[in-house]
Amino acid sequence: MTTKTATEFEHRSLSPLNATWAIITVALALASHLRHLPIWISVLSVLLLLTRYLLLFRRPVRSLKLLLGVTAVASISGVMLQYGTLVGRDAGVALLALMLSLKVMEMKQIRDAMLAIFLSYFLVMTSFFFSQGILVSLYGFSVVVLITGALSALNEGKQTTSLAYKLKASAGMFAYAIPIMLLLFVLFPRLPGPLWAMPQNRHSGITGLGDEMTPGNISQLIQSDAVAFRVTFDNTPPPARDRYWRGPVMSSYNGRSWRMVRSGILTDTEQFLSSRDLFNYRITLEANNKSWLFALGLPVTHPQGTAINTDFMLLSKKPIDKKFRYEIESSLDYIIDEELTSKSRAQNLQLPAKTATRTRRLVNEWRGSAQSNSDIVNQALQYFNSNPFVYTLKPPLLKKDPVDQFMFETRRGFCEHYASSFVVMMRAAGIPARVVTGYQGGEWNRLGNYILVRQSDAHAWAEVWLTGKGWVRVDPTAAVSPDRVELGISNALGDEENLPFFVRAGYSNSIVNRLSLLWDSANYRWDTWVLGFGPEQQRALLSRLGLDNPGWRHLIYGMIIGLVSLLSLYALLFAWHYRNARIDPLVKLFHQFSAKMTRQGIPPQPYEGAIDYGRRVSKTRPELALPVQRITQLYSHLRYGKPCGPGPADLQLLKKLVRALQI
Amino acid sequence: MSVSTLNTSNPHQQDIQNILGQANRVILGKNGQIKLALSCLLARGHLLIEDLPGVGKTTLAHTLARTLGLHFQRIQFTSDLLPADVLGVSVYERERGNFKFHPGPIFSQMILADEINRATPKTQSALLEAMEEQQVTTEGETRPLPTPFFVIATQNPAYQIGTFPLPESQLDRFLMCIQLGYPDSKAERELYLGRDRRDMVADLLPASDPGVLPALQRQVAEIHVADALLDYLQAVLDYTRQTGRFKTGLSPRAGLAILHSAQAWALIEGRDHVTPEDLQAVLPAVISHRLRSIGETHLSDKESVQELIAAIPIP
Amino acid sequence: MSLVSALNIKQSFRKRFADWVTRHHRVVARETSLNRRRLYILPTSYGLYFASLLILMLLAAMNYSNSMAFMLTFLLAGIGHNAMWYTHRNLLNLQITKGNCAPVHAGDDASFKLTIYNPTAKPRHAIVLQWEDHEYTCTDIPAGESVHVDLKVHASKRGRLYPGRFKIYTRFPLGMFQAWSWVNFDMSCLVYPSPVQSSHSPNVSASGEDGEEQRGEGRDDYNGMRSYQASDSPRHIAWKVAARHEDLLTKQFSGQTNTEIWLDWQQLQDLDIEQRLSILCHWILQMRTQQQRFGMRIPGFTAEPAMGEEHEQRCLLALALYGNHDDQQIIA
Repeated sequence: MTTKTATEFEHRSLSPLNATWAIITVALALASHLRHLPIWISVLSVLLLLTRYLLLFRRPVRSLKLLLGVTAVASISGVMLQYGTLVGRDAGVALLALMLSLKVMEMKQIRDAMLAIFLSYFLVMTSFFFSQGILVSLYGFSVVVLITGALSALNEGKQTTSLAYKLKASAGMFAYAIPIMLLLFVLFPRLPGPLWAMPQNRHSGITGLGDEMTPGNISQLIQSDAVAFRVTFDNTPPPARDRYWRGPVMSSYNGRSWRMVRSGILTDTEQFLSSRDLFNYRITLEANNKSWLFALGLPVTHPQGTAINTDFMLLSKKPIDKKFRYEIESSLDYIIDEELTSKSRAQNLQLPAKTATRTRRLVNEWRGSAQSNSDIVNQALQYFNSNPFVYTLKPPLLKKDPVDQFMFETRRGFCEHYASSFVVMMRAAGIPARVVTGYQGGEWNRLGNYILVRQSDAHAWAEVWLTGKGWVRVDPTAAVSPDRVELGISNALGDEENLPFFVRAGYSNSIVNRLSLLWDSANYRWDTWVLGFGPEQQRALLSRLGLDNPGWRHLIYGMIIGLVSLLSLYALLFAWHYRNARIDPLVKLFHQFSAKMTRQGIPPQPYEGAIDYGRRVSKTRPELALPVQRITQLYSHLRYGKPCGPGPADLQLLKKLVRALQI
Repeated sequence: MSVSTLNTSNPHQQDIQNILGQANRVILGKNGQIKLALSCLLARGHLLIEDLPGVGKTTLAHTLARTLGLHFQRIQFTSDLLPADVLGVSVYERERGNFKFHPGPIFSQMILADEINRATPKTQSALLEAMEEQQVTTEGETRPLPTPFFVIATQNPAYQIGTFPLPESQLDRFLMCIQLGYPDSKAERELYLGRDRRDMVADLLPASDPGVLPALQRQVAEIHVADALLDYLQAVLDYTRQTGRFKTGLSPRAGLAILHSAQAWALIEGRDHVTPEDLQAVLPAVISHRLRSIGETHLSDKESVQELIAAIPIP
Repeated sequence: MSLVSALNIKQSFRKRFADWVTRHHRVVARETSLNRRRLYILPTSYGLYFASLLILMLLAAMNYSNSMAFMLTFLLAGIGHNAMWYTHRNLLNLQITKGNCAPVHAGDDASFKLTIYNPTAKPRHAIVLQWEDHEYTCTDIPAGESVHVDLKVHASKRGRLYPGRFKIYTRFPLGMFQAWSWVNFDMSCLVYPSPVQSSHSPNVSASGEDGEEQRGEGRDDYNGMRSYQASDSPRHIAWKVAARHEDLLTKQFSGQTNTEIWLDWQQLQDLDIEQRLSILCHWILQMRTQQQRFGMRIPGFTAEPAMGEEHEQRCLLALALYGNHDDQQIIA
């Protein structure tokens, strides 16, 4: 018990212990941002918090206020310099982190610490804007338990409880909050798209296929084990050799690198189908900040917000800046562009002058002997196969004329080398051809029944236009190294290639791989069921519950009804919990008895012994004297008599007596 | 276990009932006080009766002594009473040529110290020391007092002029302090109609064997005290110490006094364990003379103890 | 105009609210239990901050369509909701018993003794008791135990202090909600006048009854000191003490008292009532420290010379309640 001089309880000053709590929680909330904050902000924040902690043990410093003011101005300028803005996700979080650290510096009252702690909650939330992975989420939610514990520490009286006690109470509140959270999560109406436009953040660190292909791009990409996307099929997926996930189609060549060209939008792709054998599948694409999606063969239906262009690429209207899940139907059996427009023909025959002169000469030789374009295609593939070409991750550097150099000198290359030189050969022979990049293959995850496609599955191949057949896929890499297509990259490359361990042969059966598959499967489910939960999933879930085509109005009604019922349930639960707050079962039984008597208008007095109470009841209600006195005497005997503590039989008897008391 | 066997039969229960019955026949309408006096005796404590003359203090003491078969002495305290008059004195015997100790009235099993506040503090403390130590030391020689040894002191609260009220520290030596009060009208009528009380007392025969009293006293210590009851006792003690109603809180010695008295009361009630009711029954008698209220309460000590009981919930 | 009327409305609302509270919280004699019907709960300013923070978080979550942000927002909403129950539970079913209040002097803090009993198996934390605008007291109550608290209230005036109802509240665990109740015990505290030193001295008069003893006695037993008065013999001045103090002190000797000290109202004629009472109060305290017999005379009350605590308290009571007609019978 303590008496303070301040007249307001809420204006009490902050004890060092509570200040420490606040510092720790802010630090933990900050820690979730250390990965993506610029180093100077992390260092400055940590220094500020550390200083505050050390100041706890010293006399107050006079000039602190001025120093803080200067630091605040410097921080704002720093953020401005770093990001060029103060709004938006990255700049906003940086600013929040700095301001929160400064707030911690100047905490004096409980009030300041409370606000700092509230902002820590917010800071934890912003960390989800950067990543929503399982581990990040687990960390964030654990920090929430700690923050809540710290909040209860701030509101304690003079007697402080143990850390375990606080965490237990906090975890209790957390646990009781989970049903509310799930209910709201499922029923809160989701809007498609953002409320207001936010400044785009550059995803500088994200790997993936670009809109330009220069030899060396893809071999770099395959060093990364990052997930590109995951696919689930409704029925059997196509075999590995047919799993070409088409991405950017490149038809503009400058002698060194390949680029995409702008092309028109197709409204209907069904006209190209030669059979109705469709693959129905869902892709969860990792954010890549590019505006193309990946699909097998020819996409027939396409998700909202996307379109198919004349290169039958699937395009998104806005860059994929976060995980994107889409459902799609594709056909592997089609004839596309039976007639090629002259513009398209020109584009796909374009070759810069004075490049690849040796290659052109070679192709012209074939031209003379060839019957048809198909023969030339085969001739070219034959050339790769019969000459000592090597499929390798570490091709020698190509200088002036990369195609000629590769074709006749080095003859060591990765898929992009083969695809590039193949297309050049075709174009030189007058056959319209283009480079297609994307992914090939993918790992089948038995645990999650889906295909996992990593960046290391990146691939480049060619498409040629043949009369009567339209665009036909040709993979020159398969001519050099058929294993690449049949078995995946690890089997196609030798051990001496110094591959990252996850693409090495033998990896797929190791325990590490099993664990990694398990982990990926958990992640995939997490992505599908938690992170991907949007308007469509909400609608699907509700129609599964029998609510067909629910509008947002239904959702709001549903949410309110659900919430009211849940909270009423809680009210009952808590009320019931209070009733049974007494520990001793014996006392509880007696409480039941006295509750019965209270209903009869004879409540026990708190200071009244059981026997006295029994006598008093008997006096007012003589007809109850016998059973009541039996109860009170038995209770008194059990509670105060020997041996210590009643046995179960005694309790049973008392229970029976109390039950039998019918009034 | 059924309720009928709850009260474990005590071999001496009949003796207790005999004693109470006999005393109740002589002293009418004072069952509660008789039980308190008896429990005080069983708990090996001493009793202080604070009341007006003529309400039966002497009769109570005498009746108890006769009923229990104890050797009884009455000492009327006056301002000229000397310690030696109480304790005894050594007298030189010329025939033998040495001193012979003539024991005072204190060497009996039950003493009625009438109007103890009339004697000088010196005499009072002689008696009180003897009570405390169960022995008398005179002229360098220590003589044990008989057992059982039980003092009933009376004090007249109304006329304080020329008296030496017992100081608080001395009051603590009495286990209980009770008032007899006037009998109710029915009992009073019966008193007038019945025999002369002095004759009745003189005719009383011991209601039990001489060995019963020590046996009962030993049994008191075996009465079970549950943890829950100790909680209650501590709540009572804490209340007196912390509420600020009282000048000083109860000492641990007072706590023991409450406990022993409650045990004795439980024994009289025929229980082998103490219940909160037992504790409440003895509480006013045990603590009212140990507590002094502060502030301007218009309550008597007994009333403020009743209020105290009502303020403490039974845990 | 609108400001004035708004203020009026606010005031009349406050008054109505206070009336309502008074009607629903009648004076309790001795003990009260904070049951469900008597507990109120509302969000605090922190609760409102937290709610606005949640709205902000919800908007952010919607804008980014970020599932985990939604989750966290809803989780925190749930935690806030649970905190309401935890706060409510922290105060529910406590039993408060009133104690006494030792008399104080005007200007001091009266401290009312209260006992709070927690009959449940859950410990209670940070229970705050406060009389409006007075110092608060904060306490924790372990499961199944009682604590005693001193609830302070500033006693500004002499007489009887009726503090009225006090508030018992808690914000534990998260500070977002405040559960509270009002308790109105039939309690009061006696406030003595604040003692004021003055140049006046109590009347010392020779007692006429026992003139014989006047000479021989009175020098034997040293009995403390009092401040010097002009009539005192210089031989009795405590010179050694005077060397250390500013005032002269006279050694007091007592035998079978030869003088009678009267604290007399009439002696302080040129002063107003409160000043007189304060000086008389100071004198009584002086008498206490000097262990002197004294008598006191004020209009309507006379105490014959005596010593001891009871006597002092009777005199102080008379001073405290002087002119307070409701309480006159207590003094008599």
